[in-house]
Amino acid sequence: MLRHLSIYLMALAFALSACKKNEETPPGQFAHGVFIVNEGNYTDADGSIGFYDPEDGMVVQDAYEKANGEPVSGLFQSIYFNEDMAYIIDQLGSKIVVVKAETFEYVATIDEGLSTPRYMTVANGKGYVSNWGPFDENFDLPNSYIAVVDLSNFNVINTIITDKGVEGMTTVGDKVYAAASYSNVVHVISPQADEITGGFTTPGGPLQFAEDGTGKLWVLCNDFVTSSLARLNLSNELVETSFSIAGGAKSITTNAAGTKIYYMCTPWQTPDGVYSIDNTATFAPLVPVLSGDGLYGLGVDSDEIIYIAKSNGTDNGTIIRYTLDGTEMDNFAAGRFPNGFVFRE
Amino acid sequence: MSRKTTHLIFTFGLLAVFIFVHITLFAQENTTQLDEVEITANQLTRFGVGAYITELDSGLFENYGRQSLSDVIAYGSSVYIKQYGSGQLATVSFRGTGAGHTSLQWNGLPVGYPFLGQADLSLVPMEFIDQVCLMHGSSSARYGSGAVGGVVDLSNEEPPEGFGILVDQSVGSFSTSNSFVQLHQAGPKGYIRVGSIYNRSENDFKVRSSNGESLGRQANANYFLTGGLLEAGYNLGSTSSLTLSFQNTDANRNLQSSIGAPTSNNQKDRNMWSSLHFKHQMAKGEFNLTYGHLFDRINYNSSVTDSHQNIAQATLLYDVSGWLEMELGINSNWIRVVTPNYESNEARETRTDMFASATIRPTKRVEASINLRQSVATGYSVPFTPSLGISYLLHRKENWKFMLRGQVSKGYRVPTLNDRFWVPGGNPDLNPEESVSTELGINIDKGQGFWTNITTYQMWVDNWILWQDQGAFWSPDNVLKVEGKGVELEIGYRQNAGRWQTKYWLNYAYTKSTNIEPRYAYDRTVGKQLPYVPFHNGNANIQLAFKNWNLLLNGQFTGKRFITTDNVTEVSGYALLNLRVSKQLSWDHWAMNAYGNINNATNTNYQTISNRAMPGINFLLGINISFNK
Repeated sequence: MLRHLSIYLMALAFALSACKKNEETPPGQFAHGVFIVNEGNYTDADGSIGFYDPEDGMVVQDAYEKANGEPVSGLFQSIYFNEDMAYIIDQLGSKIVVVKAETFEYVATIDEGLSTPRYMTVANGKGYVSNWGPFDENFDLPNSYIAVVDLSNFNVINTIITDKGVEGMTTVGDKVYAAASYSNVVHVISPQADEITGGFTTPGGPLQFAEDGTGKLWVLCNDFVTSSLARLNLSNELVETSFSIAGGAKSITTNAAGTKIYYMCTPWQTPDGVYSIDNTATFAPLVPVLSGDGLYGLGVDSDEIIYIAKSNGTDNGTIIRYTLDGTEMDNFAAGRFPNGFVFRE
Repeated sequence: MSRKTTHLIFTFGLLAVFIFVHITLFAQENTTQLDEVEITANQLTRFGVGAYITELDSGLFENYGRQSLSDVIAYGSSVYIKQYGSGQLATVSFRGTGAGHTSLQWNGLPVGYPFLGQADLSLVPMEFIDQVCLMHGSSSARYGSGAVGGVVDLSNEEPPEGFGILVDQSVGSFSTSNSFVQLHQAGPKGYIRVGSIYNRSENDFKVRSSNGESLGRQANANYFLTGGLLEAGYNLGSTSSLTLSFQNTDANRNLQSSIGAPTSNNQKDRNMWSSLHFKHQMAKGEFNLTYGHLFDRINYNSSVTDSHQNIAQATLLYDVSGWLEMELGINSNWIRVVTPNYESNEARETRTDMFASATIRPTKRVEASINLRQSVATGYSVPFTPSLGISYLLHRKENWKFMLRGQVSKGYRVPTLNDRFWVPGGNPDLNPEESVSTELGINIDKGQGFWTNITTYQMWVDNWILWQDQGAFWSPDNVLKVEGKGVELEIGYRQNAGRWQTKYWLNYAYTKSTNIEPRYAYDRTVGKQLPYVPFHNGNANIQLAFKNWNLLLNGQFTGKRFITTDNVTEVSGYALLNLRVSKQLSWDHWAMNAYGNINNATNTNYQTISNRAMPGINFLLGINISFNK
């Protein structure tokens, strides 16, 4: 009887393992879906990159741990995908963890030449990483710079000194744009010369960029109490328009066509809100698309579903999905301090 | 001036005081003896009828070299120690409560940082402490603020009569060296004891990932710990005595960072505690007057926070009759914290507590304690806290004793000065946290040979203070409501067979501590276990003594702990094995004790806090020479 059972079990095990093999064909398990940047809590350095598959609602809380068997620690500010690699930026450990984009298998760690790295962009085959540098005794950031990374060997090969608190980075055409958030400057950088070639003066400390469908660059600015939006004309390097928005500006993005700009504000002592404007707007709407408490990250997918990352203090955060009229669709758990999304479709 | 020079001057200073007091006190010896010191456990149990109180076996910390208070508690009790790496901040969690929910008492004074509302148990040197008692459960009625989960009570005993000197030196893995010197003189008129420690470690143990992959050596976690002790007792006639206790520790630590996220932070702690205690014995009672001064400093990356506490306490103990004992007391604590983190760099607080206790023994089998306390503080109002404990002797036959006990008590914890005054975010409108705790236990003893202690409890903590994200900054509020329940178990067995003596004992705690009220939209934490509270925690010990050999085998077990409040991520449980052996030789007035410790003998890769590496197998070898005459 027992022997029969064991043969049966072996056959079953074989059948199951055979099944599993068939399922695990390339592309990797993280090829298509939504990536969530969970910053993690400062004292625990427990940042993670979450993964959500909108097709079947599956959530992986820590894609790196799932792929590599153990977590990588850090306080993750952002993740940047380029070709078949993803770059996880840890501002606490001043390092970038490079993984394969579709499987999240570990590739390399960049830990030389970085100091509180924040965001990354790629241009001319090189990586450009904004670095705050150390705080001085007045909590100012006088030593900020951009580290230029050779993506073939993951070495920092050059640095570009910037204005204070360089933050959001983006590439449009053959230029790199960098937001120096502790000043009022957006730098224009030539990735051929690795030099600053020009710039914009913004109405506040510039944080993040969003490129609209007309090739204009929107920059979200925050001066702690007041916030503003500015539209940059890249061809003549002029600020075309700028206007005030609600306080505590935090995130900006566009819909797939680039006809609408979405941005999130988290003013003090009043509810946080997500607002939407046309790419021709010259003033801010009064009524948000949706509002709530603890809003910490914003994303909009190609179907114009709004993803909100809600921070619950040191508790794990929540991701809530809304239709574009602000009706809640569903929600699921995230890591601590989820601050943003990357959509890979 | 270098640290070493400061330390040397300090040591010689203590020595000078010793010699001075020695000459003045002991120049002529005569007549009466000092009263025997009452064992502190009695002070705890006197009005703590019904509570679960244990005294840690001194066999755990004598004879085996340097240990911190956190090590000793982890070895000898079921209480969970949360440690942020090797030699780093260690806090204690009784019955699933937080770091601030334990009151640490030193010679009757509440110690710990008043701006943090907690103490770092890794900085309390066991070299200076003679006795550690643990009181599980809420007992604020007796111990005031912070005694929500439990109390750790440290006390010193009077040294034995005569002159004594003790020198202890050990060396161990990771360039660890511990030195300890102590001198004492005790006579009819009084006693004096001085001591000094100098401990240091590079603490560069091998770091392994949670998969066991080698990640090189731990950087930036080295530490120094130096300290001095001065104790003196003086008999004023046959009924009164004056006792001075002074203890200073200076720690300089680089703070161990998370694996893979290197940071370089340095913290220097200074804890300078003094107490002057006058005791007057009366025919039917005792009058005690204590003045304490506590100076505590944290220098974190050159940002210095100082706290000064002046504490005055008076108690009157009155033995009304054979069946009724009472105590009345008043205690005032003037606190001043100086820190760049507060507006105008300073905050003050005054707390005055009035308390009354009584123990009654209406029959031979029944004993009951009632404790009442009202505290008045500047800036907030403190709830009235009573407690009632009863014990009932079920059965007594030959050596066997079966005793039922139970307790209902309130506890509270006042908001810390950081909670109230931190800029930005400090909330001056905070209320104290409050707890109610009930417990039921049974003790079964057979003389000194067998003992069992089983306790079940249930407790609720309301108004638990949490710092919450307010957008621009964080601010604390009374938000969390927690329910805790569990079982605590202690079993011991001792056997004497000729020259062989063996002792077996184990401690175990099952703890379920959950958040019971939602605090925000989409709250997934309700009903979940609090982070870093293990369901299972315990240890098992075997101690063998043969002739002058002593062997201790200690096994510790801690179950999985959740990292986050929604219980999505966890740190794996672990078991550790520690071995300690010592051999004592003595001739005339001399004694020599050589010891060796193997810690984490199985080289287990474990973490108490997620991503903080802990050392694998490590060794300590030492020798201890003493002269007593």
